[in-house]
Amino acid sequence: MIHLVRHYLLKSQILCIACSLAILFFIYIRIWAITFFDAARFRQVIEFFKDFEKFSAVPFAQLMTYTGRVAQAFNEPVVITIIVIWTISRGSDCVAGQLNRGTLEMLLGNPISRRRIYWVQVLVTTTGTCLLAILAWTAMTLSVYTHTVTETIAPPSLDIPGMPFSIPLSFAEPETIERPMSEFVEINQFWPAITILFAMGFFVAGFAMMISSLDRYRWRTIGICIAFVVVQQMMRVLAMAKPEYDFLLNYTFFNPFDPEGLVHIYVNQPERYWDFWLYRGDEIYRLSGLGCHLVLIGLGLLMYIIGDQVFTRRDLPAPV
Amino acid sequence: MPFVETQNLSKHFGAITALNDCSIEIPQGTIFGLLGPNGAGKSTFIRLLMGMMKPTSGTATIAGLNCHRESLQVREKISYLPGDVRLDRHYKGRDLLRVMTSIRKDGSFQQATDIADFLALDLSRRVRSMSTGMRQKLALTLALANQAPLIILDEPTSNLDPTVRQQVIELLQRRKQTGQTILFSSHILDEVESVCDQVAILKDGQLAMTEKVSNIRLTHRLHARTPQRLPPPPKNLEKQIRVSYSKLDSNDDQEQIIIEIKGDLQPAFEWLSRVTLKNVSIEPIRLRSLYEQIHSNHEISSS
Repeated sequence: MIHLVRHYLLKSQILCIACSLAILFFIYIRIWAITFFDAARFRQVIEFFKDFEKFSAVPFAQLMTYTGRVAQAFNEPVVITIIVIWTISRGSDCVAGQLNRGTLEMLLGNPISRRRIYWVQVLVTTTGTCLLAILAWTAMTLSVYTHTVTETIAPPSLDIPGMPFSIPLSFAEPETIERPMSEFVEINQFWPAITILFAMGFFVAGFAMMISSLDRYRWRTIGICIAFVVVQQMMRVLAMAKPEYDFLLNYTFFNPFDPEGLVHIYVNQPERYWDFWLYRGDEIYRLSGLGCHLVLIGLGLLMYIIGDQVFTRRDLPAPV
Repeated sequence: MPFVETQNLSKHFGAITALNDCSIEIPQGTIFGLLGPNGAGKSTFIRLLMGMMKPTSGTATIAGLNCHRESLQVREKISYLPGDVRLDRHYKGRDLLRVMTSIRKDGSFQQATDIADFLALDLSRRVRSMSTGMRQKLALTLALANQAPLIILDEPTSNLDPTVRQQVIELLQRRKQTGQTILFSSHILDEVESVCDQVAILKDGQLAMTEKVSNIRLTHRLHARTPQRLPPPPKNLEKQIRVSYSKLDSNDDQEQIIIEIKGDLQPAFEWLSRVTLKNVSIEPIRLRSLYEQIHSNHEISSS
């Protein structure tokens, strides 16, 4: 089995290295970019876009904190794309890719069970996804510990209750000071973002492997998987934009994949993080930490099992 | 008990019949040739033995193991070369041999490199930079780099030059001497005739004929002209002799007669000495004649 694992690791190493470097540099630079904007000025920008708060997974108030802005990095389209590229590439290669190239026939000429071939690839893909998530964490940690933020401290002023302004008590210039970003960001608060990134990758890889098990052409498998991801994202956007379509959120994996939301829950309601649901009063408000992870991991696992059952039972056609 | 046995083996893909009611027995330690044009069902037959497809009906067993239900145990007893060889292109030849031989318990890297040397294969090149013939040699090396009791080769000598073909035939004959059973399909009839103990010819998914090559070699065809039809052959020769007539010219008062004689010629000659024949000629039948007869639906033509 170790030889088979090494065989598939070797096959996927270039893609893995490319995705690793991409996620490492992107997260590092993305978090560095946070330091370019003073949080106080950022507040004004955010308030200008208040009408668009419904498109955000978390309240805009959270985006004004460094914690909220760092968490946002894990929900960037580039990060999602890197994870999706890795998982769809490996997942689609599992059966359809090898059938398409004809290398599966050569491999199955040996006494190796189809199940072993399948699950070794699940192992390699999952390990790669895990590595990407860990690298995202590493990049975040490096960036947080190597960058400083500029804070503007306004001169003291007197707030008058009921009035929308304050009276300055000094006419001195606002003071700017540089402080390490790590003073504002506690990196241990971000593990929910990392684990949900992994869970999302696990889910997408499960879908890709299931489709790959049914198919014989890799290009068609990739097409189906990309279409699936795009449609799921469109469903999320539509559900957030129009209240009458909010039921669509129940059918898209981008709903449980909510790194900012989970970090928000973990920071503000840690005692509720391990609940399946979060309640607002008596009503279910959203999935909590446990719920989001279980949905993605559970559905991913279910699709892996379906893929296994299909692959171990199907006829394997001759290479095209 | 035959080492490989299929009973009424059939495979249908919807309305298409790839293989129908195919029953074959292959004794241990023999070389068995599978013949047929493209689409005759050779590869389907082999893929059913490899457990890559579920038969629509019938059974296939190797060493008493069901090829579909016990596919893993069956493949421990098989070394396989696919018809359309596709190898992982990013490996160097030597690395691919190392990986693939390590996957099998009985795989031998040393044996693989010995075969590669015998076939004059450069293992330092990457698969993607190898020619089609080199890839075929590499795949053959992989297929022969173990001591599986059954070797299944789907068109092993395609893309190979005549010298290498001869080397491959030599390798197969050596394997037969060590008691291994070999099943191989080919389009090259002379090659099959020279190396196989037994052949089967498939046509449109049906088994058209199985015959020992030694019997084929003992079959002769006699051409002659005769003014009158011959009396039926004696009872002891009924199974050995097949007679057919044709008139080349409608104005001709004589008929062309073709007599196919299986086995020893002596008893047939005794019978023929009692009838009147003119312009007699006799020739051995070869595999090509049988193959063409089956696939062209014409009367036997000799080579």
